[in-house]
Amino acid sequence: MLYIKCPHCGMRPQTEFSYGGDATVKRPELNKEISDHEWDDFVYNRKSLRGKHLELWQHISGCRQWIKVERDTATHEIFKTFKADEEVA
Amino acid sequence: MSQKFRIENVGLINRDKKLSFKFNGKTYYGYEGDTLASALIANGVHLVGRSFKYHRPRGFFGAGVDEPYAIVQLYRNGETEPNIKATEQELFEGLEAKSVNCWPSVNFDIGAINNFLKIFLPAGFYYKTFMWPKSFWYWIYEPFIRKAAGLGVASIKHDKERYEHKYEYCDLLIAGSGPSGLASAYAAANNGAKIILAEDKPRFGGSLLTSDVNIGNQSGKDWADGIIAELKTMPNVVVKNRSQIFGYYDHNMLVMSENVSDHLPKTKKYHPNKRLWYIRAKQVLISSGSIERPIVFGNNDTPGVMLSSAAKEYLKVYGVLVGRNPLVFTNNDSGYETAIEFKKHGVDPIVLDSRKNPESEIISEAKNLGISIKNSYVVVAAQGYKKVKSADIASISDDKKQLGKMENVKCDCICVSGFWTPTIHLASQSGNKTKFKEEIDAFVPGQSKQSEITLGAANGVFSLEETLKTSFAAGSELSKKNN
Repeated sequence: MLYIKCPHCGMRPQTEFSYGGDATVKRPELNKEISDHEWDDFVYNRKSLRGKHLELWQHISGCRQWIKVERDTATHEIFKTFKADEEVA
Repeated sequence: MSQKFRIENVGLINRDKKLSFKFNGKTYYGYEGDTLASALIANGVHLVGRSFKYHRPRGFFGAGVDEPYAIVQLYRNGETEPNIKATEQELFEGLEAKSVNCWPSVNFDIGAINNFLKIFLPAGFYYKTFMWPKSFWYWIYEPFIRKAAGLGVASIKHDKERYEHKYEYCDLLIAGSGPSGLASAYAAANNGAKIILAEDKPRFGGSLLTSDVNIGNQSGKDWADGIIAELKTMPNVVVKNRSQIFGYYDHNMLVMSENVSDHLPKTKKYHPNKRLWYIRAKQVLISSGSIERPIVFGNNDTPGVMLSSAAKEYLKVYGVLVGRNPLVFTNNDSGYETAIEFKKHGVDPIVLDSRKNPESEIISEAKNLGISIKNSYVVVAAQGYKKVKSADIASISDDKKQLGKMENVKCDCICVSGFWTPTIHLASQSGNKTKFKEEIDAFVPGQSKQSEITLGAANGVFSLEETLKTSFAAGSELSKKNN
């Protein structure tokens, strides 16, 4: 079971969190002609990466905030966690 | 009924408290501190079950969690539980147990006919045989096959027991309370680290309970008792017996199952039956020891064939002789320890050593005690059906390829010792890449992936002095890192 550092609450076990998917996908810009292909990519298409991956988690049984977690999908090592509005370098 | 195989004044059991129990409907007696296995052996019962397909007789092979054969159906407080290892179940007043996979009784089992028809029953024959005629399936084949399948019977009643789970955090989790676990726990506890020490058996001390060693001017067992007593007074230490760590998950999360009530006739009010601990440890120290290896020979599943370490444990911990005419078959020095223990308690063992000219301190001690030792000898087959009656032995050539003339020696148990295999499961689960150690012919933990360290026999170190030294150093080093 992973041990995740919530930027608001501190170290908490994985059971308190809910997984929210890839944090790097960007919503297509508003007021612009958007092709079906772009919508498809945004809504459905994800890469199954092996290695470092930035993902969203929600601290559902805690502060209920969304956070970003930088995690290795192969070894489960967690490098860093960010608040949802924080810019990731 | 007298306990024919119990010897006086030996063991760690409480002889003031006699307990009665039933096995297959017959009443026997044992003492407080016995396991079901040791109490049965004390009463001369070796036949406890039947094997799955051929219904071959099954006895005891080990003395703890390593037992592969002695599986029984347990009745406790109006409930029944299948698949209980007789070697792990502690005795309590009024315990009832039954053999599984035998009908009408373990002594006379009709299913044993399979053993004689085995040439007609190759693997998978059922898939072809029970296809025709089709109408036979529902009324004849299926009820019959269902009756033959499975070992125990699951209870269909609602389970009235309560089960708890809890979370715990610690600086150092120590799995196993042998010499290595105790030394490191002691060193780390004195540095103020928060420690959990877990032992899966009821008694602390591990191998110190069965080996004849001295630490300082104390016997191994007294040393262990002293350290445990001291650890229990410390507020930063949690000491748990009957608690087995069985899982190592990501980010140093370990799971431990604590047996709270199964050794009592009835669960106490407000107590759970078992408690599951989720432990998040900063450091894990695995000191789970090692398990003895069996040696392969004909009919080595006959009741009466067992590990020499198990025979020694039954003798030293429970005061029970596994036989009065033992044969010790070994390929290393450990078998001699068992032989010496037998000799000390008035039983004359025969030692067969597959090596040609072994020399060591313990072998000369055995020779001085007058134990008969046959070098370059092996057991070819055990004879006897429900209990070992004799053994076919033969000399073996230096290249281990040629057997000499077969002889038959009378014996009532064969204690085998094929050296030791480190218990590395926890290290493997942590993601540790194990490596093969040539000197001991076994895998030991290699590069750690999480913050764990394996010490003592589990790391392939079988010398007590070195184990104590490294464990003590590791314990104090690891606890320093945390503060």
